[in-house]
Amino acid sequence: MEQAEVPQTQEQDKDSQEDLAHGQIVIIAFRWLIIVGALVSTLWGLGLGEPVSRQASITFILLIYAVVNFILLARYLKKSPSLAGLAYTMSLVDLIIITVVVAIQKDIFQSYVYVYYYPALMVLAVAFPTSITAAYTVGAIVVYGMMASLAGGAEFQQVFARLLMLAAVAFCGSLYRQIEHSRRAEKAKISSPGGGSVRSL
Amino acid sequence: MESLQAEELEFKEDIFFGQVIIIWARWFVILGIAAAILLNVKEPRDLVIGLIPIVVLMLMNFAVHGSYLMERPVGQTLIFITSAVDLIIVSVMVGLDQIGQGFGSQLFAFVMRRQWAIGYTALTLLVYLLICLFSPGSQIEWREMFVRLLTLGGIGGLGSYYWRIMRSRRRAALAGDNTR
Repeated sequence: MEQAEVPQTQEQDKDSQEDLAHGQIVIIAFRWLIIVGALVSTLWGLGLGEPVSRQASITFILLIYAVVNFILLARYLKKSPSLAGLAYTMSLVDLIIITVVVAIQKDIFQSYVYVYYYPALMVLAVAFPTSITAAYTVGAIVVYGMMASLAGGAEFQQVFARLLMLAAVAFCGSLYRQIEHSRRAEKAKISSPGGGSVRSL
Repeated sequence: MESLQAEELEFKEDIFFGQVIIIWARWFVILGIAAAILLNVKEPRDLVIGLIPIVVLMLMNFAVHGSYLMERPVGQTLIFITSAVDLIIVSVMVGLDQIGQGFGSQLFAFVMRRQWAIGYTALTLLVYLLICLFSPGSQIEWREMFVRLLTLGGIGGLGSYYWRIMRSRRRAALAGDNTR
């Protein structure tokens, strides 16, 4: 019995590793999106009279972020093995950066920066196992929920709508990942000798 | 000929398996809209009018979810129609003066649910932009609008990208090749 369980566990690990390998390119693409968005937004701020020194610091941080992302992209293109720890840490860093940028806004509740949480949670939901996605999503909801609720002028209904949609994006992303996983497993079963049948539609 | 049949089957499977995600996303939107409306009620009229979109979406979702559970998924046309109804209801709510105030509306978060087809995403962005532009009293802060559209479009684009990756993995699995 135990001997039969070992290959199954190995198979699951291999599956998770492959999911991560294929999902991380979506995370990398998301990171480019956030970098371009933040860069344009920062330069836009110059035209609105925001302090140059502040904008320069933000630009510098964004460029470092871009270099790190380029290194991760290069690793992916070279087909280097995916490091789960690195991927999880980088996604946590993404969420922390978004949270810090939200936190340093003058008016946290009115700040629009929180919208970056949506693609961030979506991409990690399709790449990471459900347990990791759940932990990150709950963390983001709790932290952002507290920051937004405690900010001056916060309205419960609006905070609720934002948090609900954060949960929705992560839930649907994770569900999609699971569905794709089952579909692929079914295809693999069909292609194997003596494979099964396709579910009739 | 076989290749065409395989592609058709794959397309049908995409529709079948994709439905359940749209259904769940819609339940989240219904919950959010219900909360937004019920917490804003000041007069009986508000409640009656506010219930209309909730009831429409719930009936639609009950029908679609029920069909899915009975393994009799609704057709592609109906999925497009229901998705269009979603877009119309959320857009109307964002554009409504009392609840949304156009660009100032925080209900735009509901637009953030998964809009994964490129055409539908582009349409959503356009509709959202037009509503913000033409809502009475709506004042657009263009930098914020840029970030909203970027993240909305980003979700659509990244989702579509992920779907393409998964499609090639499925095909590879069918061909018995599991390497990246």
